[in-house]
Amino acid sequence: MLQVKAGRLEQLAVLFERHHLKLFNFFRKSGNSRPASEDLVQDTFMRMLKYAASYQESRNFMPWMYQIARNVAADAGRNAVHAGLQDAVEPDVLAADSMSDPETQQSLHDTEQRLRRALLRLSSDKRELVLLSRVRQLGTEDLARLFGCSASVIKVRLHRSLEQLREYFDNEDDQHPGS
Amino acid sequence: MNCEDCKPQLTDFSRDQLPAEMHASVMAHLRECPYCSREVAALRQIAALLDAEELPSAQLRQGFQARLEQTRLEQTSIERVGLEQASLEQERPVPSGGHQQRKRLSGLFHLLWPSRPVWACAYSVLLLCCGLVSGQLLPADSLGLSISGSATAVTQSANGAISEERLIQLCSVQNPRNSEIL
Repeated sequence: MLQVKAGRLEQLAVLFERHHLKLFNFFRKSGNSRPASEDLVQDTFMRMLKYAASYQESRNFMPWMYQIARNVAADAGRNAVHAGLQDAVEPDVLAADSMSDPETQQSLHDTEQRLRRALLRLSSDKRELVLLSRVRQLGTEDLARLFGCSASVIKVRLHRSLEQLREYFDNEDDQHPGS
Repeated sequence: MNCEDCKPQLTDFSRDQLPAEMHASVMAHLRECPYCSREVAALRQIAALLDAEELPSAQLRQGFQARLEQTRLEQTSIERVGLEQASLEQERPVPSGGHQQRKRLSGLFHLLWPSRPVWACAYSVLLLCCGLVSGQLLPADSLGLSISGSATAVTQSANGAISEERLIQLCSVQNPRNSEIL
């Protein structure tokens, strides 16, 4: 990222190759459609380029990138609300739509579908916390900084969010016994 | 370690975020406790599902590369315009000597003239007072000649005006009015 900051834009392609898959899945599991998630990944990298000057060597790259990704997702949600798009307001509806797509149904395993539905029942903050907790490079301190609280608070929040997710996941099992 | 101590550590344990010592203690407890083992198994199942990755389409990479290329071209054109402007600045003709002198004088005036309007006004009044005082203090004979000369001219013109009035009166005496003639 420091090289990008120094004006070597082609180095952003290297970062893209390293991180686009994780970012895509972060947006996808947050309840966005495939095309929307791809757009959000592109927007994240373009915004990284825009704010490259603000990147400091002392800061970890991963929390910085995910902070930008969160902002991009939040802005996209706000814009969709202003534009009157329903899918940003009700991610559950979007999820139901994406689940009804036969290609998606084929490609996703049943348990993954259940998990996705369970994830979408969580509040956006909890969902983001759960998803970011699975990024290996983000430690508890990084998550605490991202969510603006102490490490002990983030541990408790993560624990509760995961418990809630498990509960929803099990309920999904009861609601969809055939799956 | 008992279940109460173990439970808060399970989230970090399933994320491999525990320090080595704590990790070993949790592992030792899990070997003995089926309840906590089940908890960890459930957390690991969720974690495995969360870690499952979906591949994006090839359009993502193409779209990104196109946008990056566009940004790079824009930046290059901006840099080129900047360089052209800089070269134009260097090629601009040097001003002539007279122009420079005028510029220097105007700079001196600006330096002497107060910037604030109040001070400029006071400065003007001071200049006016200096003019009046210097007019009063100048030697009298330097102005005297001109004053007496002008006084004589005024007297002569006044006398001329009086004689003209008298001439008109005499004419009117010698020549009776038209009404009197009638």
